[in-house]
Amino acid sequence: MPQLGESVAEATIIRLKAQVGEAVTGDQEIIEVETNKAVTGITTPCDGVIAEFTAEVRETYENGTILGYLEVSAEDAERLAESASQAPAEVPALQAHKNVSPAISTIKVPIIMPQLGESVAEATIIRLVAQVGETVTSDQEIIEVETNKAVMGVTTPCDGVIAEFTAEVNQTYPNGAILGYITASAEDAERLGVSASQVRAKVPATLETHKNVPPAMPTITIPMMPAKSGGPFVSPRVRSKADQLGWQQQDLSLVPGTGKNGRVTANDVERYLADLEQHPSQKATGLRLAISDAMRRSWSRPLCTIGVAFSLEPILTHRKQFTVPPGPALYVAKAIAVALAENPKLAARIVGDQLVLPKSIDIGVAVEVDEGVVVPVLKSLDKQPLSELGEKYQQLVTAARARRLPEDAKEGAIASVTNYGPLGITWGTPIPQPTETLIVGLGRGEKRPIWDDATSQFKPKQMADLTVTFDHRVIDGGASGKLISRLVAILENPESL
Amino acid sequence: MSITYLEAIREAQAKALRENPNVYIYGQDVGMYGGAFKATKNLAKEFPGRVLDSPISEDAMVGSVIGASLEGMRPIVEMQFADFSANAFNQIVNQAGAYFYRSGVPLPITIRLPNGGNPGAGPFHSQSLESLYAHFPGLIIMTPATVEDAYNFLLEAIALDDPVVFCEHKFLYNRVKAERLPEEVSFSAGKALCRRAGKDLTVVSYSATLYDSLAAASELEKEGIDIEVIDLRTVKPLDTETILQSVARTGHLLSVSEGWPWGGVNAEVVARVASKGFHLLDSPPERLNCRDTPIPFHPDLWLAHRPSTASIVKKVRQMLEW
Repeated sequence: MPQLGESVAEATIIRLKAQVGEAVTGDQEIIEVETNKAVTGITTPCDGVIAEFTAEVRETYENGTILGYLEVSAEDAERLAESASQAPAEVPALQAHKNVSPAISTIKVPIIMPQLGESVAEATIIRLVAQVGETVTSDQEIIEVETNKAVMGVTTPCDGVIAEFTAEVNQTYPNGAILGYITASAEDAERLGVSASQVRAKVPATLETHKNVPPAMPTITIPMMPAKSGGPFVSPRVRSKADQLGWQQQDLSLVPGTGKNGRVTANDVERYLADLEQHPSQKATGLRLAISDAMRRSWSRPLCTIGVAFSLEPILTHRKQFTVPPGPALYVAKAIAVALAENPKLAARIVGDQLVLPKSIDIGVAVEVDEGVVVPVLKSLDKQPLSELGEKYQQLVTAARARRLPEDAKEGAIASVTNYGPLGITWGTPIPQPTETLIVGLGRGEKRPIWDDATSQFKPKQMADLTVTFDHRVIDGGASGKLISRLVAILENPESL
Repeated sequence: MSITYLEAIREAQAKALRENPNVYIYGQDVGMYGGAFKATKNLAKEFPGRVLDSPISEDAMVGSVIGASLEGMRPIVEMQFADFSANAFNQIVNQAGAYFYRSGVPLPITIRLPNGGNPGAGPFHSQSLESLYAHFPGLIIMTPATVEDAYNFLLEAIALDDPVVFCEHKFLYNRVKAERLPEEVSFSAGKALCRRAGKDLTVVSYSATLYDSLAAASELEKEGIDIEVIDLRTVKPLDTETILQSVARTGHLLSVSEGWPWGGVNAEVVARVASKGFHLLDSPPERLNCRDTPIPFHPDLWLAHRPSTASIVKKVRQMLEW
């Protein structure tokens, strides 16, 4: 873009009059521009072929801006180079042959924190001696810094104008840090090793590289294995020893630990085993192991027990009408079946975020057998008539004692009854099986003095205690109270069964 | 009458030269001078024309013996210091290590590396290079700690058809002694040994750290801690079975090496135990190396830089408190 008249500083491109690739002659008008004074044309400096237009139509450019490039002969280029040295502003196009980036007429040279003495790694800025915009000469002191040894000056690398200070007073910078920039001539920049490509991004190459490093990922706190404190950690060796012994976590929990924070070490297990060996032991039966496993799993829940006394007399009278009279435990079982059929949610199991409801009202009745307990299941008990239960139950008990329970009576109860009355026990807190959410306990019947308001005296009455033990995650206190009241209401009015 | 580790190395070479006309020694000043550490003292006189001085080019030395071995010779090449074998790295790992796999032709060369640190030897005369060479396939890496092993292993190295990097520890040269040389030569490369039985923790060591580990064991014994000390003897092949057997007894592993911590023999020992013996471990497997910096010059710094009796004792205590 030439100077297009006195006091004209810029011009706007109206039209490109030649095409890229077009052969042109010297002084041919190739670009039409408009200044604040007139429309005029820009001409070629010599013969050649249009290589490129860097200027765009309707954009405004300052005098001296490169608008495009011509491919010209070596002679023309040389001739123009000579005149360029006399009047550089007039032939900017030539710079293209020198591979200097066109947008830059001057180059910013970084001001670098020098090594200010042996074993000095950094220095603190005390004062900026020169101002931004000030013309400076080479080796002029522009920044005063203090090292751990002395106060010293940072000098300019070449002639130029202070473009910018990036360093701040009172801040400390390591050797090699960029403290600011000087606008300098291309020659000086080249001598100092600052190339145009580096300057284009306005930061030296090292900083540019640094910029390309992806930002640090957010720090995540990873739960660490307790390296310093063993605590509940089970080492692979202890784990594999436990596996070998067929131990569960519960078994390991019983071993006194001497490691960090009570961790059970491999040696602790060995000591524990050595102690066990001092005692007589025998292989547990399959039934005992099954019960043990069921109780271990059951005990993983928060269980709660409530109890109430009720009168056995209505049942004892009612059962007499049947050929095979059902025992009190069967009355209780039937009562649970009725109550749960009314409100099956009470028998739901909670697994993860799911409430698993019973598919049918199957109630277990615990039976004592040799060295253990089995719980035969009465399927869909809510739908079975009480009159048939006596005989049916007797068959199941016989089968249970012979360990010959039919498949459908073996498991899957949603609740069960345990009658510990025959053992002389009045009250207990039995544990529901893992498939069950609740279990009802029936205590020994006995005559108790009950206050009779009508006669204002105690009267003997055949009573028993009823307990409900339930998974407190599923059943709240209020619901359990309603349930046990409902059971008592049914049992004291057995006609409804 | 006693014999040193260094003399055992010289005697093994003399025996090999005596018994096999294809054996010769090549290295800088190994001839009339007898070698930088006198490992070839008098051998040039006793075996004229078979103990040859080389130019100061480790690259050329190894390249030359590779050629000779292909012509049927069984050369021994001596590096003045293990550190300088870096100059022959290409010949050792790319040529010697790969040769048999590429051609089916065996390459029976023995490269003797005066390995490991000595007080005041500084960064270029103290390094342990066994881990570096063990990384490459095709090389056998021996790291004897005793007079007997130095003698037997060197003869085995010469007899083997594979290229062997024989790492002899400079600190042990004149400090380790035995009553006499073994009367019968036995070959057992690739087999680790339990040098001290114990029940509380396994320390895996080799070369000079065997002695630090045994000293630590004596120290710990006073506290009622009974550690087992394994001597790897050859780091490649690595005797995983013996290590696992020991960890099966003790449940704890500490691997000790004079080499640097990044990768290497210790890392390999720990990795193998962690993967094949996970169920045996009662605490995290640990290792003790020299520090991850060049080896310092000052004898006190050198001592603080490498694993020591004190640092092993400290580490064992920490591990058993876990």
